[in-house]
Order: sequence, then C-alpha cells, then structure tokens
Amino acid sequence: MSPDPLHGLSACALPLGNAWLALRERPPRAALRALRARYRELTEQGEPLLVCARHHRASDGWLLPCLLAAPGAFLLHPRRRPWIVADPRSRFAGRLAPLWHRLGRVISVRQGAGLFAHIEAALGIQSKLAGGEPVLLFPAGDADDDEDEPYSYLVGRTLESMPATRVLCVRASRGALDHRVVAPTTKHSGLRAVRELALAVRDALRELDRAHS
Amino acid sequence: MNENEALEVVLGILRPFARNEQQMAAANHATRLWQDLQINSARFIDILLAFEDRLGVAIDEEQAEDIATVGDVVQLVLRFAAENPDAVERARREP
Repeated sequence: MSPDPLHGLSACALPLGNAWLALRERPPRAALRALRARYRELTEQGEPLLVCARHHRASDGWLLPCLLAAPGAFLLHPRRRPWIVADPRSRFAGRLAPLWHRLGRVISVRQGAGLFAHIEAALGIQSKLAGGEPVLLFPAGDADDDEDEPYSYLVGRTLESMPATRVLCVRASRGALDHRVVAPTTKHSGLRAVRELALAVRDALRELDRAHS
Repeated sequence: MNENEALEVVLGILRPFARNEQQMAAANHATRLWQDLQINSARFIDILLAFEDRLGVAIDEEQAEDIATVGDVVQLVLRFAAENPDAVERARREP
C-alpha cells in the first residue's frame, strides 16, 4: 500500500494515463520498454534519481509518470512513483491544480517565489532522494521557450549537494520517446558549481529535443 | 560609493537578465526582481555570478536568499563596496 492513502488514491489515476498514452500518444514500443527497464533498474538500486524533461504538452505532469512504469507498477511499488515538482499556480493543471497538489506526490514551489523558497524546495527534493524516492521535474520549462529555466536551480543545487544523484532525461511528445542518463560533474564549488550542473542537464534535455526535431 | 552609484552598477548587471524589458527600463529601488523583472531562480544565480565576476567577491546563497528587490541588491553591493572599494569602483567604470 502507499504510505499516504491520498497518494494511493491519486495513483489510481495513473492507469487512466496509461490508457490515454496507448490510445492517443502512442509512444514507440521499443523506446517505451527501454525507458521502463531503465527506470526500474535505477529505482531498484535505490540511488538518488532525478527525472528531468521539458514540457511538450499540458498534461506532462500526469503522463510522464505513466511512461516510467507499467500500469499498476506504482500501486505495487508506491515509493518508486516519482514526486513531482510543480508550481501551485501552474497554468498546465489549470483549475485542477489545487486537487492535484493535494492528492499527488507534489513538491510545490512557486516559480517567482524568490531564492529562499527555491532553497527550501531543493531541501525537500534532497530529502525525498535520500529516502530512495525519485523526483520528477521540468527544469527547462516549456520546449518552445529556450530562455525559461523555472526549476534549473533546483537541479543544480541538488546535484551539488548530492553528487551521487543520477539524472534520467526524458524526451516525450506524441509519437516520440527517448531517454538518456547523465551524471554531471563539476570542478567548481558553490554557486558556480550549481549553475554548471544545472546547465549540463539543460543541455542534455536540449540535445534530446534536437535529436527528435 | 553612494546609493545612486551602486544602483547604476546593479542596473547595468541586471539588464541582460531581465525578461520584462519595459519594467527594466523603468527600474528603481522598489522594483521586484522576481515578479516585475521576471527573473527566475536560474537567472538569479547567473546574476549573482555576474556580480562575483564584476566585483571580485564571493557570494553564497545565504547572503542572497532574502533578496527581493533592486534595492536589496543595491544594499548588498554597498556592503561589498565597504569591503572592497576598488573592485566596486572598477565595476562602476566598466560599461
């Protein structure tokens, strides 16, 4: 059972996501199998794992977890279901955002909330990772906007604090799916290290985008 | 260095990172970095690094976590100016 009954309830919505994926999105089967095998392998190891993607559609926060594991897998292994970092006022979730944030495994942080809120969120992420629970976020925001990096800092700060963290970069859009595991390193320390690590992940996501554009 | 000179340095460093150019053009001490200039956390780190490079100082996140407005950044620069007046004066003279 899920450690939190509300999280278990929201996990029940994931099979709907799987049905939606099968009927509408149709990710390539080989790529889907490869991604799920990789995710299972990484989560079974219990090492800190960040899953990073760019937004290609409004429903990514709901659909991406469905791509990561077979239907029902998160009901059997609730701790493998990723926490999701999201803005409580997200335009993507619209009116359902408060419900989603209440029920889902969501780490809330407002994009314009200032550095202190982001530092707090980074600590929240690190606590989940230290407990062997993966975290999913969209550090480079919308795929149409190369200037935006709403949660890039969180990735850099987490990787600087927990260098053993691996990053599973996923590129998912209708009919296309790909992934890459990266483990960025830096010779710098402090803020420069935070930024360099964040840029490494952002660039890996952009490369995945370019490979499929 | 007085407050107006510090403001000049701060606005020069902030300008390339602000997403809202209209607000940037009219920026003053009360301008909010995150809401008005639409600077996100990644850009904010870029700004802090730009300050490090231009002023020759090391900034940690604790010093910057409560910064909300242009005026807060000005106060930070004035503190640096007190510690390292030459570097800040050099930054002021650079375009």
